[in-house]
Amino acid sequence: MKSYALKTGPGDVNRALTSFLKQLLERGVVDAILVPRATRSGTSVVQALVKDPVAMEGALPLAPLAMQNAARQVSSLTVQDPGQKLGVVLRSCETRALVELVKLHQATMDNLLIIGIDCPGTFEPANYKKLVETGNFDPEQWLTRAAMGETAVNDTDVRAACALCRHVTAEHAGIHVGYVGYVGIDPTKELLVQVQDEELAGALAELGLAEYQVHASRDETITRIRAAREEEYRQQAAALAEKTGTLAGTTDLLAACLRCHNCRQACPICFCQECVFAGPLFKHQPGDYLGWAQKKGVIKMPTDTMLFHLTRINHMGLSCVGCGHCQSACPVGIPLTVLFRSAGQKVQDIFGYTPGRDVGEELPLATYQVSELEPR
Amino acid sequence: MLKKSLESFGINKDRVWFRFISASEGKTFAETVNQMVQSLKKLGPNPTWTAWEL
Ligand code: SF4
Ligand code: SF4
Repeated sequence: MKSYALKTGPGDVNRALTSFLKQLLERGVVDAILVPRATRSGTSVVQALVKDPVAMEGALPLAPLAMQNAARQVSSLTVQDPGQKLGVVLRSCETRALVELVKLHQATMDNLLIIGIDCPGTFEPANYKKLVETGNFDPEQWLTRAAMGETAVNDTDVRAACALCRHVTAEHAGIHVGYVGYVGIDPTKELLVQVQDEELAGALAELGLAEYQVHASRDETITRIRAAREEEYRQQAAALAEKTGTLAGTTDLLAACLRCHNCRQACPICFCQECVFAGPLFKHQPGDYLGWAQKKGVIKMPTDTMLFHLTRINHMGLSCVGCGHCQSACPVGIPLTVLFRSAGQKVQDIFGYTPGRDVGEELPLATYQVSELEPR
Repeated sequence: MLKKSLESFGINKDRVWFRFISASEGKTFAETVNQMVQSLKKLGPNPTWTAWEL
């Protein structure tokens, strides 16, 4: 791996990175780039597919906002060979979800250059909007503080899932852009650009990037952030397990669920076009509802909310990457991240499987070991 | 896998049984079903049957 410094300046961090991406387009390293870009109002950041280098202006690759898991967009772009080399700017939860989608035959990586970014966390879209609107968000001040793991602005912190996430750097990146670990890397002076591949390294050297010695404080900072978040996750998972240990506790937790299916819609892993819950199977006859109400005295409407979540965890738990987009999409604030991440972890542990770890590693249900065929 | 997920949701995993029985093993099949019925009777009615879910 080779490390380079990309020079930035105060007020210039996203712009410096943007012009770097623009050069990748101009030089034909890639033919198009998927990158986060501010909407005209500046209060939101959405995914944009850029073909014209000029249109790269206004991209905000380091903005702490991810309104969806971009792996979904990469799936749309690569489910069939796009015939062009695509660059995609992704954070860890997105590269890991993408790895799972490749295994599920919903995306390909053949013509893909993953430009990974450090991500200390992203804000809930409504909070980001409010921070920008009230003038309380200074992107660079945030970057320098987040580089040390301090992600909160006043009382507003990043999404619940991010505060529990141990992945700061993005896995599987061909080019990786980093800034976490303040000493030695000050994002308002320089960003760290790392490449795996010799050919790409050559292309970067041509762009005039200077080689760079990574300061040990980067790894130290990342390790410190990880440890704190792992601990926080352990605590929250244990507290939740107390509740979900009994049926009554789980019922309480899911009682407000409207079965709007937003969580399924937001989940990067839930790709089925024909979700069993979108079809007629759970649209019962009016008489059925009344019959159940007769039997129990009262039933919750809509019905089958518990079954919906059980079905979902059973279908996608092996591949849950803990991105928390399910929870961000939930209108009633059910703590889905810890519920799905910890329930997912339990089935992953059966197979020693870690979603998103390795694209060459088979999905446990798509393969078998001879020992599994022995009588037990 | 299913049993682990049921546990995560506080549902007794012993309500679900998985057994591999070949079509020629009629006796084993009958015995297993009997065992299952007995075990389920011991567990009593599924609480979701009467739970209000709210
Ligand atoms: S988003 Fe929330 S309310 Fe909607 S189905 Fe999922 S858990 Fe239920
Ligand atoms: S279940 Fe939630 S946390 Fe897990 S991958 Fe889907 S959206 Fe992300």
